Parts: sequence; structure tokens; C-alpha cells
Amino acid sequence: MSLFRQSRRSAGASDRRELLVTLNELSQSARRGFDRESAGHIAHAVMQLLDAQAVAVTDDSSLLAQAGSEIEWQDTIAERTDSVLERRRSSRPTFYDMVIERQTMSVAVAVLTSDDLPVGTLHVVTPKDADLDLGELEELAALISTQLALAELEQSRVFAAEAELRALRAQVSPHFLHNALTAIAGLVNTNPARARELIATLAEFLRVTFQPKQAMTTVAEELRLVEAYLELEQARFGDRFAVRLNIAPETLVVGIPFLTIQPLVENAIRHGLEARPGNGLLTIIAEDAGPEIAIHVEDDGVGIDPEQLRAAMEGADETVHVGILSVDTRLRARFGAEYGLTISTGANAGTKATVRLPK
Amino acid sequence: MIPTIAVLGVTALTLALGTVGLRFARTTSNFFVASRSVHPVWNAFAVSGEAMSAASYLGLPALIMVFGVDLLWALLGWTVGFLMLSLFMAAPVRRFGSYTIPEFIEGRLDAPHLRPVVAVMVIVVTWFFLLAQLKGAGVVVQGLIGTPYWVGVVAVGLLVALNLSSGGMRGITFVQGFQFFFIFLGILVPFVVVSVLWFNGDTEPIITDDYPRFIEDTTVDYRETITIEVGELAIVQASGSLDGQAVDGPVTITGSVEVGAGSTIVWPEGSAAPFAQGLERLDGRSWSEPLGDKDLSGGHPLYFSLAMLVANAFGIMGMPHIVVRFYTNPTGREARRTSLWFMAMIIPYYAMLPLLGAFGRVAGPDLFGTDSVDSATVVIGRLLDGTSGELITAVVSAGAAAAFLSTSSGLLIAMAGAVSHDIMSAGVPQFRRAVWVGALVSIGAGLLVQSINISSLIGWSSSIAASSICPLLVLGIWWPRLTARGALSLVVVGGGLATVASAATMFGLVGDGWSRALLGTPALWSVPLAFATGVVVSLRDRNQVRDLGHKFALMHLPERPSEAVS
Repeated sequence: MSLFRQSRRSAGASDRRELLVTLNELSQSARRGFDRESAGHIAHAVMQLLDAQAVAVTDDSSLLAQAGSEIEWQDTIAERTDSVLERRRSSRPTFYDMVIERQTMSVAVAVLTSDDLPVGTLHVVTPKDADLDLGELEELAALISTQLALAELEQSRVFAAEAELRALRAQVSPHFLHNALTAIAGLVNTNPARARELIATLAEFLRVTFQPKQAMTTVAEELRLVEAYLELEQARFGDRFAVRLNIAPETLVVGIPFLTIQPLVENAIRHGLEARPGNGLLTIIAEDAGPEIAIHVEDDGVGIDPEQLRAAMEGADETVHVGILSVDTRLRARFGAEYGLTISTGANAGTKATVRLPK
Repeated sequence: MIPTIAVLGVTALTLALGTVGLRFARTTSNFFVASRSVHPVWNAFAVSGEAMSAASYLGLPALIMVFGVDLLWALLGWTVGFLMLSLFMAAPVRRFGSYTIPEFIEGRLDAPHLRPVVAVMVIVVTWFFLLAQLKGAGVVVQGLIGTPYWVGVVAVGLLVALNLSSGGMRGITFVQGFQFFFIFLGILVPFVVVSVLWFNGDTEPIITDDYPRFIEDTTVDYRETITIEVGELAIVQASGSLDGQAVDGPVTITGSVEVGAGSTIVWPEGSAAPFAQGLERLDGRSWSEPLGDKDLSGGHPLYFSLAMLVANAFGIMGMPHIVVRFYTNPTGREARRTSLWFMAMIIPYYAMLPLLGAFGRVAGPDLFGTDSVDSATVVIGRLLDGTSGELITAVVSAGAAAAFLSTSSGLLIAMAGAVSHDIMSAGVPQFRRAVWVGALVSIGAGLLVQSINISSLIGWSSSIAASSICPLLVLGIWWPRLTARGALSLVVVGGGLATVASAATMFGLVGDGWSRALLGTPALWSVPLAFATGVVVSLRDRNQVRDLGHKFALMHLPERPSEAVS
């Protein structure tokens, strides 16, 4: 059966299939971004596709990778790359000649772009009489450029998550600051020692929150931040809510995106416990689950209306719960889609937020 | 009765601690205490609870009881292995920050394709080790309650799987820390009591030139049909069937006798202990002297001693469930302190074990004839009369239960973690499924290994780990030139051959003599072969690993500058 089909398949079909496979490999390599490794794959694929003698890929200044005959063309390439990138405006590939082993070869250069900005060049060496089709080269360069742009988009999603963290840092809620300072002010006369302690705690909280350039921390460090935060909140709330902790020690060393637990705690107090009549309970549990850990922040407050929560998680409702949306985004950006934040809640049923982290 | 209660008590405590074994705090002022990392000493308790397994607790005294002092090398091997683990591996692995060994290899060699390969080795190693724990469970429960062997295997296997899959190990560091105390007491108490008796001359001498003899009239129930070799003519009270003939009353037996299932024989005081067919009957002299012409490992005791030394020493360095325990330490420095404390705990434990095996020879001569030498540790209580004897049995059995419960939990976590984390996509449901699959497969196999000694299972597990995971880690941590291709060939050649050799021996495909020695304990040739393969292939490989400076700095430099000073 298969033999039969094999014999009937024309040479053209199997060529076409090979072509498609190579094209697919090419776009996958480019999709991974622009570094030495992917440049190597790109060079090989282009050489195969255009039947060239050698191919070189450069970034905006120097050689990244080459395929085909070993050619000492560092200098030529640097020079040509500069001039091509300078003259750029027309996206058409150009030719130049080069003598290799006393044979004059023709080299076609195309510019690779990402988001319309030139990021590198593609040099294709063919014998002088081979008659390379510049149109084909142009299409290939366009294909690679599109993939590079996609790779950059991916990258920018990670950057966006980091930017979000920076925004979150800057966004220590004015509400919280005002409350903390008011509570401290109330204590200055009656209990100056306690007031001094709280000011020190506030200073520590602000210092850690504004720590520059640190996207990841450990669960232990993050809990320290939560501790400072809770101390300040409790200065105002007094006995209105109790805190219960349940921490497995093996979870403490696990890496966690900075400001993951604290926004959840803040959310539990602000939107759960504050509005609750009578005394509430806030529970923080960190437990071991084999190759992962799970952290639960739970309150027995008023809960959140599921509709409103959905709006918040989709980013439609900007007013409340900004913190938890950011937690979700950053967890996904860092660990992949399956590590998002899960929240179970209902009106008057309390709220339980769960974060899973790989060890 | 008391021993049964003790075992159930330890089991219940394990389950309870697993569920609530987190650190509590009720107010913010206790926050600091709850979120402080575990002290290295407590971590060392946990590592000890993991490392003191049914393999050493039951398997080693059994081996000593049968083969004598040659097996002291096994302890030395383990001790050396733990020392090397502490010196060369605990801190760098911790600093690199990977949770599992496959993840470490992937990160160190930039080789995602190696991850599932290493994960398969992790599964093979932990699986053999888990079989040994389940075998231990079967033997202990059988000895205590008199149920058939399979009851203990199935019960413990299901219990551990149920506990893990229902999130019962939410704070495993505490659970294993507590289990350490039971295990250690289980060895310490009988050791002290029996040693005191022995020094006072209140017990039989343990080293004589004679063959093992019954020290009192002993009733032995034969649950399964077995062929025994009776070394000296004896007149016994027997009921049941002997050599296919129904008997009830006094019988004279000698030579090779087939005892039917359900038979009972009362061996009189002073008669020579019968040996199950295939078990070598050693007199006290050859038992207490190394080497000689023992039947050990196809008649090559010297090869066996060396191979076992290598297997144990290098095997420990490649045991995934032990390496993972160091992850709980916040820094490499703490990991090193943990391993120092751990050494201080495990060395006395190892030092006491052989004496239990020696006493087992006196206390349980019937074990030779019922193919149940793996109970050597548990029968020690017989040296004392009445309640005190029963109390000793209780302490020992509780320790045994703690040993196989804690180690099989750790192994099942490592195995399921490798399946769900390194082979499939990570996630709690996948982890639970992997726990169940791993447990069921192991229970099934556990039922089949009744006739295989715990120590053989451990020997294979160690040989495979020593020829695959250990060289990977050692070269990965200390040799910058290791490449992905070198690592792959190392695992395929070393791990593959050791696995094939072990499996062939396990399924009884191996003859006697040198083939038995070489395949039954392959470490002496497979470990050097694995290292050599890794080195040669890496040197010939032109695809170097990139970013080496950064990776080595991460592994070998202290986390904080201040650490270098102190």
C-alpha cells in the first residue's frame, strides 16, 4: 500500500514537502529570537532553500553565525553590514562581489528587521554565474523578519509583566499609608514606644517594597514583608481580625515573584475583612505538594461577587483588585499558563486565593 | 499485642503529622517564628529519617546474620557515600537551585532532551529501593500479626499512596524529623539492653565456633512449603507434612527435607538450626572471619565486598530522594551544616546495626529455615522474657514502621515527582496520578519479590544509581568539560548496563560463579565504565556547554560575600 503510494508520488511533491519542512524549521528558529544559536539554524536553512554555497547571518555589527564553506569574511562582512544598514530605506537586497580562493563569487545581502527596525543582515554566497533570484531572498528575509517580530512580542510580554511589578511597587495604596500614619499618630501620645516601633516597621515595609530591580524573592522574604504589612494594619484594626499562619518549612526557600502574597493579604483585608461585621480571621497556609508548593490566603470576610471578580481578573474593572490581577499576570508570565492564581469566593462566603509555585 | 499497638501508633502519628505538621502561629508576633527557616539540626533529623530506611534497619542485620563480617563493608560504603555527598554535592546542588536531579542536569548542560532520560533513571533507582521498603513492610507486619506476606505490602503501599495523594505530606520535614527519633530509638534501645545482658553474661555468647543452635525449645510454623537442610540429626515434634508424608508426633529428621505448608515443628533446645535450601550454613568461625571460601555472590566474596563498597558509596551520592532533602536548606552553607549534623546521627546508627545482626543469629535461628532472615532485627526481643521482651519488640517494630513509612513516602514523592515534573507537564493532578501509578506498580512488584532479600534489592538500586546518577552529578558539578552528549552516553552505557545486569539477576537468568558475581553486583565495573564513557565522549564532543563561568560560580561561590569570611 505504502509502496504503491510512494511510487506514484511525483518528484515534485517530495521536493515540495522537503521545502516546507525546511521553511518550517526556519520560522521556528527565528521564532526563538535572534541569538547565535538561532542564527546558526537560520543560516543552514537559508543555504538549503536557496542552494547557496555559504550563508552568513549578522546582527547590526558583527557575524553571528555562518553555514556552508568556511570563509574568512569577518572583515568584509563587518564593512558590508555597516554600509548596508546605513544605506537602508529601500528593503531590496543588494549584490556585492567577493573573491574567494581566486574565484569571484557574488554575495547578495538582505536586511533582517524586527518591527520595521533593522536588527541584522543575511549574506548569501553563490557562484558568479548562478543567477540568484533576489525576489526569493527578499521573501525569505521578510519571513524571518516576521518571526523575529513575533519573538520580540513574546519578550515584551515578559517585560510588560515586569513593568507591572514596577507599577505595583509605586502603587503602595495611599489609603494604606494614610491609615498607617493615622494609627501611628494616635499612638504618639499614649504609647510612644509602640509608635516608634510602628514607624520603624513602616520604614522597613517601604524600603523592601521599593527595592529596585528585584523580580524574584523567596517565600520567607515575602512573608517578612507580609509580617510588616500586617503589623501596620493591625495597629489600626486592633483585634478586629486575627491572623493564623500555617507554614511548612520546606516552602520557605522556594522562589516567588516579588509582591505575590502581600497583595493577596491586602486584598483579603481591604475587600474581605474590613467590610465584615464582628471579628474576622485571616489564614495564610504554605504547604508542600511534592514538586510544587501551594500558598493559600484565606479570609472569612464578606467575599467577592463572582461577576465583579471576573471583571477584575479580565482587567475590565480597574478600580479594585488591581493587585491581584497583577499577581495573576506575573505568575503566568513567569511560570507558564498553568500557574495562574485561583480564587474561590462567593458573597458572604469568604475568599480563598491559592498560588501554586514550582520548587 | 504491645508491638502491634506500637506500629499502629507510629503509623497514626505519621498520618496526623503529615496533615497538620506545619508550623502554627496564631498572632502576628509569632510570624517571625513561623516563617523562619528550619534549623540545620532539624533538617538533619529529616535527612536521617529519610536515609535510615528499611534497607539498613532490616536488610543489613539480616545480611550480617547470614554472611557475617564481610558485610561490614556495606556500612562503610554507606558512610563514605554520605561523607562524599556532604563534601562534594550537598552545597553545590542546593546553590544551583534546581529541585530535582533531572532539572539540575537540564540546567547545567542546557539539554532539555536529557531531562526525561535522567528522570527514567530516577524512576528505576527509586523503584528498586521502594520494592525493598515494601518487602520490609510485608515482613514486619507478617512477623507481628501473623498475616500473610502480601497484607503488609498492600496495606503499606496503599496507605502511603493515599496519604501522599490526599496532600498528607504538607510538611514532610517535620514528619521525617519525628520518624528519625522512632528509628533511632528502635535501634538504640535493644542495642543498650542486649549489650548490658551480654556483658553481664546473661545471654548466650554471640561468637562461638559452632553452628547456630536453638537456645530454647522453639515452635516454628511453616506458612509455605519450603525445603530445608537439617545439618545434624534431630528428634522433633512435628505436625503437618514432611517430604509429602503426613506426620503428627516425634520424628527424626536429617538432611534435605521438604516441609509442607501449614506444618509446625517444635525444635528442641540445643538442636542445630535448619537452613533453607540455597542458604549457606556457616559455623561461627567462618561467620566471624572475612572472605574465605564463602558462597557469597557465586563464591567470590572478595569481588563482592569491593563491588558492594563501590555500589554503596557511589550509590548514596546518586539517590534522588536523599539529594532532594537538602533543598529545604536556605543556602549552600546551611546544606553543609545539615550534612555535618546528619553524619553525627547516622554514624552511631550504623555502628549499632551489625551487633543486632549478630544477636539475631542467637535470637532467631529459626529464621534461617523459614527464609525470613529479613526479620533479624525484629526478633531481638526474644532474648528477654515476658513483658520486657515484648516491649523491646514493640520499640523495634515501631522503629521499623517509621523506617519504611518515611522512606517509602520520600521515594514515592521522588518517583512521582520525576514522572509528573520531568516527563509530563507539572501539576498537582498529574502528581497525584503519578503517585497512584507508582504505588500500584510497586505493590504489584512488591508481591513478587518475597523470595528476594531486601539487601539484594537495595544492592541493585545502589548499583544503578552509582553507575548513572552519581557520575552525572559528580562530573556535572566538578568537571566543566562535561557535555550533553557525554552525559547521555554515560547514562545509556553505565545506567543501562547496570539496569540490565540487575534485572537479569532479579529474574533468575544468571548462573553461578563469575557471571553471578559480575551481574549480581555490577558496580565494580559499571561505575568506572560510566565515568570513563562520560569523560571520553565529552572530550571528543565539540559542542561545549555555554555560560560555564556563570554556572560554576552559581554552584561553587557562597551566596553572600559574608559567608566567605565566616
